[in-house]
Amino acid sequence: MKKKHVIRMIGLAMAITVALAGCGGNKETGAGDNQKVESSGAEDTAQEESSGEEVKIPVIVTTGTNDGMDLQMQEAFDGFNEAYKGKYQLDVEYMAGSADDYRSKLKMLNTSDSMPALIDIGTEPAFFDLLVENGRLADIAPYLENDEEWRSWLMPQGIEELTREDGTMYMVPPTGLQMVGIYYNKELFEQAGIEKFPETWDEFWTACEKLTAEGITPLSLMTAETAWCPMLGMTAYLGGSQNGRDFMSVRYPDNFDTSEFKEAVEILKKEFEYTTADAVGGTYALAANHFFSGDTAMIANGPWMMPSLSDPDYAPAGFEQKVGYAPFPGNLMIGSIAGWSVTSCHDQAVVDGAVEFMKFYSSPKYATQRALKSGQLSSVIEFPQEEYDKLIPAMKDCVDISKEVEIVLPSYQSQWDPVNQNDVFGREIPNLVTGSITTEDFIEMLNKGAAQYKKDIE
Amino acid sequence: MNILKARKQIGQRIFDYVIMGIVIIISVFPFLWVLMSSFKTNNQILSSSFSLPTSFFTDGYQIAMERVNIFSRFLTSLIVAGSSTLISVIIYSMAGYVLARTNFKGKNTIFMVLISSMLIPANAMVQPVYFVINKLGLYDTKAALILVYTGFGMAMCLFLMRNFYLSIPQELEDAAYVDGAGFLKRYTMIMLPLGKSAMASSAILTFIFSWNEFMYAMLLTAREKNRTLPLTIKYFTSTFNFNYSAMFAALVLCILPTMIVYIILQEQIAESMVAGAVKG
Amino acid sequence: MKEKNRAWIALFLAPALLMFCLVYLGPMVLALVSSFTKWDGMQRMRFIGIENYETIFRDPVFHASLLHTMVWALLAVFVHVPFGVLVALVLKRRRKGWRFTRSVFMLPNIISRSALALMFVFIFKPDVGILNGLLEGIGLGHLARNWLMDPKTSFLSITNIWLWYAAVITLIVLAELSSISEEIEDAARIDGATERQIDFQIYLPLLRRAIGTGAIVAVTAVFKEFESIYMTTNGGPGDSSMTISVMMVNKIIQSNQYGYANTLGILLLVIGIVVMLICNKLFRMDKAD
Repeated sequence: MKKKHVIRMIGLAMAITVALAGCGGNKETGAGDNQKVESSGAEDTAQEESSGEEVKIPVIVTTGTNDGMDLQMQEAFDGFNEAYKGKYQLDVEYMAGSADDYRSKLKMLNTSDSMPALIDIGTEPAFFDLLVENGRLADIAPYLENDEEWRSWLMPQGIEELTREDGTMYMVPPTGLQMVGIYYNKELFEQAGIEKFPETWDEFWTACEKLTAEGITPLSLMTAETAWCPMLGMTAYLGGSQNGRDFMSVRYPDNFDTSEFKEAVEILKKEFEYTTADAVGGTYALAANHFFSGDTAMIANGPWMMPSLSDPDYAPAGFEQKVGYAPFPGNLMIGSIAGWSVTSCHDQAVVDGAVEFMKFYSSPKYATQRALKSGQLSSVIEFPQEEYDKLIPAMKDCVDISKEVEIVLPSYQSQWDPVNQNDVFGREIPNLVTGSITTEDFIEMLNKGAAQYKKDIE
Repeated sequence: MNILKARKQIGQRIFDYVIMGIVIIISVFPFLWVLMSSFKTNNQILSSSFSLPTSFFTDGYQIAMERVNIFSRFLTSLIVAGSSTLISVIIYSMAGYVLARTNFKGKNTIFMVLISSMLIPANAMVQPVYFVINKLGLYDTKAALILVYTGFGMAMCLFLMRNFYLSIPQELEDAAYVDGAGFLKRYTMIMLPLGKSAMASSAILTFIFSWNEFMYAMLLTAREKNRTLPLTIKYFTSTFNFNYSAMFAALVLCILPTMIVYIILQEQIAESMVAGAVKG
Repeated sequence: MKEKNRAWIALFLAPALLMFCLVYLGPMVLALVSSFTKWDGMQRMRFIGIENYETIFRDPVFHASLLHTMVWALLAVFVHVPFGVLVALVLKRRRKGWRFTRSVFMLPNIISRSALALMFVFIFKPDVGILNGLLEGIGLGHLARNWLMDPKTSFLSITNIWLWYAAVITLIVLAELSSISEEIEDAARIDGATERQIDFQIYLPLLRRAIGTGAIVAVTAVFKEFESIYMTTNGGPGDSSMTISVMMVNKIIQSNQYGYANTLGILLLVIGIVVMLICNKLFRMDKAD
């Protein structure tokens, strides 16, 4: 098979991503060329500091229960501390809490300008903007500019996307992208006589009908936590048209009153015709559990859910063998480019060390680990064939579909304003799908929310 | 007449037992639910939340014990909750006494100001509290948590103590004054012993609060040695991750010590109830 | 006596005042000042006069929140507190099993509010929730609904998460009861008074201040109540279960609107103080017996 081209193809796919509209796609970046480069080669950049004491680099990470990404991070921390003994030492605080709690802590520490050296702002663009405006983040661009090796490990699209108009860069470009698709239960699909995962929306709804006819609930959905699953479906539908893609490429859109969007809202409503009774008001935990226990046939989520498929705490034994992973109808997946930032509130030595760690973290060894464990597929680092064979079916699918995906849409969570995400999605989608408010009301609320947010941050 | 009265008393008895029954049901139910859930798998918790556990699934406990150093956290929690309870009871009993039994200008204003602190949601105070803690150099210390919890318990304790002292008859104190007892003696010899039940109530409430609090514990500590037990609960639920069996197991581990402290302190109230009789 | 005591008074008050200054003075001053500004928690505050207050009073979400907060306050005073007092009076009679009852009543307060809220999510769940199951069992299936997500029932459903759990009130009243001599009760009983008459005519008047304390404690607690809503509906659907404190936290989390959020905090403080003064008058709490 053409596994060799897998990664190159992701690069290609990225090139036509709407999020990165206009990016030329650095297809010339060869895959596999950098594999043998050792991370220790970077040591000369910061030689001057090595004479003094070990530099402590504070980091805070949240400890999820079984998030593959966290485990990767932990491994990289240990590896770095080992490799840079006597020079740099990461001082890691493991924080028990959610991503929201983590950001609360960052905000709190920020008031005394004592944030850790490395921070992950995640899906809160407003906070990021605020930090940049206040000069709280270190510019990565100069480091990256002088480091051909490091650059070659990173996704070219990421570099392009994260470089700002004035040439500065405040987020370290990632080595890969986690692309969100749909997990589906092959056994239930078979039972309903569906042979392959639907490729168009019409086929998708037919499949839902067939599943329903067999007494199987097609979709796992929820409305809490910014209504993640149903909103993924809705925005994926939106991404099916050029106008919709244009809409999704706008950060903080302020007019939701367009014909494409209206149509997408109807799709959102339609999704709820094919879900469980507890989806309205439900949480991710409930939705995921329905899928894991075989009550529902599909759930939209990212590859970070892969480890849970074979975790006895969540799924019955052998469940991972039944699950496939597919792009949304229209061969579309969803993913946003984001990375860690280095803060400027410490000594230069600490900043240098933090940047050094980010390079270490980007090295092929760890990038491959991330690709393997949590589906953060790189566009420039070869995916190792011998590892591919050991993957669970859904992860194999993930690797396979990534080479053929046509459209990669940015996630609404990184594009739309938080007022709408929390206030309108979380609280009005229940009203929308139960018919308490109309599509027009809903759109009007979104417009109001967007205007409110604009006013809030001005 | 007597038959009527007897019948009424039976009615009263039935009424009392009905109320007690309701109280027991609504209170034990959540606890049993938590306890049962801690022995279930995630799936069982989410899909058949109220059924009995089908098997004795102790993975939750295993995970809860494995992932975090429960013992060290238990100790930290005990130090933090114990200290803040002790400090609270001492200083708010003093303040409560003064605010109840002495007269000075601005007394009511001071009381009102102190009590109004009860109205500020803790979630809204994170930044200023951190500012103070940071300035005092207490970030990531147990002292920070003790300070914050002692502060948070203020309104409630002060309120209980002052109102309790207010209800103690003036004659008792006057008699002591005539006997030549000074301020300190009147407080320690008369008021403190009488105020035992109010102190026990305050202690119970402060302890429960300090033992369970996790937002400030999460934000104001960084090192494992300053982490408290409730943070363990938080560990198992984040936005796209959940492990309810482990969370409930951690919850049970948190509840039991509070339960013990509560029962011990509650006996204090019961005891003084028997001793009773200062008013009337 | 007065002169000599002044030093003692100062000494006795000092620790509490210090605690207040350390923990509350900062937040209060900051809240008050920032309520007149636009402030994201980082950049310099921008003074905007009473604009925040004007916006809030025009905001329909605030109207809903205010209404809900007040409804909760009333329920706290007229249902939560009386229930707690009733339980205390029943326990006072030391029927068989009273110790056990007293101890378990505190259990829901020991279990964290989030866990309690989670349990109610399962009670109210539309598909496998026990409430709907119960209704169907007794032939009232047509009343079954998605309790937390029906705008008509969401708010009152959430209310149950705290309404009946009045152990704190019971604790306060029991502590007060412990200081009342049983001789009065015995005397009344000899005079032929029933238990109910003893409760209403002897104990309730004597418990006046404890009940007032309980009322204030309960009202302030519901003013701050956050977890039970956050874990269930987050104020929805629509604004049907929004309260001022949830609105406040949302403003901070979503858009770093500290100025606006603190304005809500100040309003909550003002409303709370008014309620406290009313309770004070109502229960004549400053008067000694």
